[in-house]
Order: sequence, then C-alpha cells, then structure tokens
Amino acid sequence: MSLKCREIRSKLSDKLDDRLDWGQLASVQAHLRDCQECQDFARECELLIDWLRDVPKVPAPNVLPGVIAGLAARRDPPRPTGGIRWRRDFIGLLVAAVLLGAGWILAANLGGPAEADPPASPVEPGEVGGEGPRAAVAVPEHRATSDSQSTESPVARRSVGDSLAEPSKPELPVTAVVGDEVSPGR
Amino acid sequence: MSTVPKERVRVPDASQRPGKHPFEQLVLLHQGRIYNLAYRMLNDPERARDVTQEAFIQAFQRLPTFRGESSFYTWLYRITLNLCRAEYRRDRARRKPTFLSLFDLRGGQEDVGRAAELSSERDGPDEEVEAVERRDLVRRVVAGLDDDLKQVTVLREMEGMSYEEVAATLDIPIGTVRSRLHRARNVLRERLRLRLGTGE
Repeated sequence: MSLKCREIRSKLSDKLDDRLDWGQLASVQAHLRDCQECQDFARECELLIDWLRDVPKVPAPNVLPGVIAGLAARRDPPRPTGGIRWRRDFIGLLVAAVLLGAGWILAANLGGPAEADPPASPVEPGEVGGEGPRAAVAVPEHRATSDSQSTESPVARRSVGDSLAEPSKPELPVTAVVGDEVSPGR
Repeated sequence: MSTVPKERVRVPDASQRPGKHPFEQLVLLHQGRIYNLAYRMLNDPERARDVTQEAFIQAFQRLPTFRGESSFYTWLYRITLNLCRAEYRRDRARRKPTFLSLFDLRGGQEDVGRAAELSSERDGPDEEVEAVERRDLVRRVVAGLDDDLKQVTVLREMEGMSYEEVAATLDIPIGTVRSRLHRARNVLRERLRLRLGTGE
C-alpha cells in the first residue's frame, strides 16, 4: 500500500461522515477513481456503516416497577453499621454476664449446700510454734509434694483439720504443716 | 427533549397510579433508548435491564445536582455509560465471558468465516434469516470492542448521534471522537472482513 493510499484511507472515515472540506474531498475522490484497492476499502467501510446502522433496537422491558422498588429500598433507614452493631452486642453480653453473676451469688447464698462448721483446732495457740491461727491452714500442694519426698516413710500428710475429720484412723502418722514448719505426728 | 421537573421531587410511590409521577413519566419515556444503549454496550439482556434500572435510580437521586448544562437525555446517557463501564471492568476482573473475550473473538472470526462460506454455498439464501444472523454477529463484534471504541461506535453509528453530541455525552473533544471512530471502524472492518468481502 502506497503512502498515498494510506493517507486517503485515513480520511475515508471523515469522508463517510461528510467532515472533509472541499479540497480534501476532491483529493480523495480523485485517488479513488484511479485505485481499485482503495475503492474496495471504501466500499467495505460503507457496508460496515450500513450494517452498524441496520442493527435494530430491541424491545425494552418495563423497568419502572424495579426503579420504584429500588428507590423505596434506598429510602428506608440504613441498618446499623458494624461499629454500632458491635457496641450493641457488647452491651448485651455485659448485661447477661452481670445477671448471670448475680444469679449465681444468690443461689450460693440461699440454696447452696450447707458448709460444715469449721472444726475447732486441737492445737492450742502457741502449742506448735505458737502460731495457732495458722494451724488450720490446708496443706499447699507444692509443699506437700516436696515434703513427701523428703520423709523416709510414705507418711500421709494432713492438715490439722483433716486429722480431726477422720478420727477412725488415728494410727496413721500424721504430719501436719503448721505454717512453714513440719511437726511430727502424734 | 424532556423537561426535568425543577421542584424537589418526591420519591415515586408504588401505590400511586403508574405514570402519574413526573419522574415516572421520564422513565417511561426514556427506558427504551436507555435499555438499548445498555444492551448494545453489554450484549446481555439481563445486565442491560439491571443497568437501565440503576441508571434511573441514580438519575433520580442526583436530580437536584442536574444543572441543565446538557440535555437531560445526554446526562442520562452519561450515567448509563458509566454504569456500563463499571460492569465492563467488574466483568473483566471476574474474567467472566459476558463480553467477548479473546476466545470469543476468535470464535467470532470463525463465525464470520463460516457464515461467508455458507452464504456462498447457498443456492437461494433466505435473506431474512441471513440478516438476523448478520445483525447478531455485528452486535457481538461491537460488544467485543474496547470500551472507548465501543462507546463512540454505539453512540455514533447505532444511536445516530452527531460528533458534537457524542463529544458532549462522553465529555471528550471532537477530535478524540473522530480518531476513536476511525480506529473503531478499522477494527470492526478487520473483524468483519471475511463477511464484508462477500459483497452482500
């Protein structure tokens, strides 16, 4: 394709839309008279435009009900956003937790199992190391473990309270932990 | 050209008699052209309907901002084309072949070739059937254009707008309209070359 053909073809689109001035139009027409290839090109372009303009309109559906429904839906107040929803849920959980706690405390005070009266301490104050009030303290777990390893026999370790609660087994040697000291069983 | 109600427009109510509200009249008046524009851009009737509906909803919501610098029709066209462009981008991101993908375009070329062979082999082609087939093919090939080229093609060739109207609708200079149109015609001619070459 010659340079002239290229130039003419670039103007054909404008020619088809009648947007060339008189001089340009004369130049294009003169070239088309002599050039068969450009004539074919121009004919294809004209046919293409005819085809494009020949595409008919299609029947449109009635969108009015959908438009009205869409507008009505967007007119409704918006739902709570994420932050508001989160706060609302948090407050609900908080209230539920408070009510649950209150109910549990109430049940413990009114209907819970009656606790046994604390046994009187057989150890008189000052009898063991002079630390009476601490004698009723239960044996700490970690302490019990370390103590059991340090003694020679598998001695059951009890608190003072335990020894009194099981009077039928007085033969068991009891090691009582009183405060930080270990006293031999009686 | 329609006049746009200047007063603050109340939302149309479904309980009203259809067509009573001024905006409803605008919908009824323009829905055919807006639907066809969307259909030519998307080549999908369902999406075209959704876009048409959404275009009117957005038009109603933005009605107070419409300053009358362009015609209502041009303004509505612009909203529709923006929605179509959004659909086009969304669709491309999803890689869903509603528009003609490259694969479909190859298929389109094959269709063109097959149609050309068939038309040359037929002794007495049914002109009406062939015309329907050709229009469908043209619609598909146009839908497969790049968005910029497709917009000018649809507005100029199918909607019959002048260069000035196309430029106003797309908010681009007239020179850009000319160059895009020139490119679009070349692409279309190339894609329909086999069929065009049969000399119908």
